[in-house]
This record gives sequence, structure tokens and C-alpha cells, in this order.
Amino acid sequence: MHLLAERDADAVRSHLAALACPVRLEYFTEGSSGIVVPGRECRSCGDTERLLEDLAACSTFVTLHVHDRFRDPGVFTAFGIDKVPGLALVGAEDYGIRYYGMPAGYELRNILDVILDVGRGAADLAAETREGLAGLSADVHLQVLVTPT
Amino acid sequence: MAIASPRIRADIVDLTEFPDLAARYAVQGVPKTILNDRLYFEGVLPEPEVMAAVSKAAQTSSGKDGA
Repeated sequence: MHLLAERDADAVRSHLAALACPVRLEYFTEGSSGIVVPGRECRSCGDTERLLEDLAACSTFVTLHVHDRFRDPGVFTAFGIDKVPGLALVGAEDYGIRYYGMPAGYELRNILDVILDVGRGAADLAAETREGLAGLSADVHLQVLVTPT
Repeated sequence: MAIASPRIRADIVDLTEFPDLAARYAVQGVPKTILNDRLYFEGVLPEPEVMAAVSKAAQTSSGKDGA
């Protein structure tokens, strides 16, 4: 069953047409191995995986790789994933960009923009911002808390 | 910013999936951005203000401001 309606898939295909380099969607889930923790089931993990499958089908440059918490714990550690559903968006390198939850609604549009930026390995930033980033004296972990609308 | 600097990691977190984080970070409105688990700002800020917050978080972490 597809989660992206055909009209929405057309819009995603059109958006991702600008992509010219590969982007990996490393998807972190639980339950796909058949193992679940009672009372802590991931209710949206299945739907999120189907949505990402639909999204990956919209561009030959986008590939989906699925990792289960109980089957592939080492991959979770390697990517620093601490909750599910989790998504790492990886281009020519891993830029440390993660999405936790199901990227539906307006957040789907944001994810598409992130995919494009990760694919080209560049972001549209002012020169002053680039200068500021180059001068950072320590690591910074940003957590942007959102709700899909 | 995460693409432009290896110093930056960026998580986008859907609070409907993780409501415990809404309570933990006392979220009243979204987006709310948490920096190094210590600083925060709410809403969508102009790029220079975001950069200023990022610089402050880095300085705080490295102890340059005495925090």
C-alpha cells in the first residue's frame, strides 16, 4: 500500500528532479525483525517505512536502507540514533542530519529540501554565517522540535 | 549549517512522536530549537540570529564565556 497519493508522488518527483547526486536514506526502526518490547511498540515505524519507500521510488538518486534496532544495534550506534523512527540523510558524506518521527505533512516538504541540500553537499548560507561556522570553537548539537502541520 | 560545518549536528524531532521531549524542554510553541541541551530559542529566527545562538552555544560548551 502506498502512503503517497499519486498526485503527491508527482510533486515529489518534480521536486527531486533537481537531484544530481546519490542520497542515502538510512532508516532506523524496530519491529521489522519481529521483536518488540511490550508497551513500547513503535506505532508509526511501519507507516514511516512505507512513506520512505514511496519517497525513494520518486528518484533514482535516492536509496532506502532499513535497520532494525534489535537486528542491527551496531548500525544504530554508528549513526548515533537513540530513538525510532529515526532517519539519517547521507550524501557524499554524513553531515549529521537526523529526522526523528514520521516526516508527513509540511515536514515532508522540509525533508525534500534537506535531501536536495545533502545531495549537492551545500546549503544556501550567507558569507557571514559561513565565516561564523568556520570559527566555532566547539561542537554544537541542534535539536529542532517541530510538529507536522 | 550541518552541511557547512562538521562542528554542527542537527536533529529534527517530531514532538507528536516524542511527547516526552515536549515536557522535558517545556515546549510552548514550535519550532523550538535546543542547542547543546542548554540554550534554546523559539520560532523561526533570521539567519544572523541563529548564527549568534550557535556561536553562544559553542562558547558556552568550550567555557570561553566562563559558563
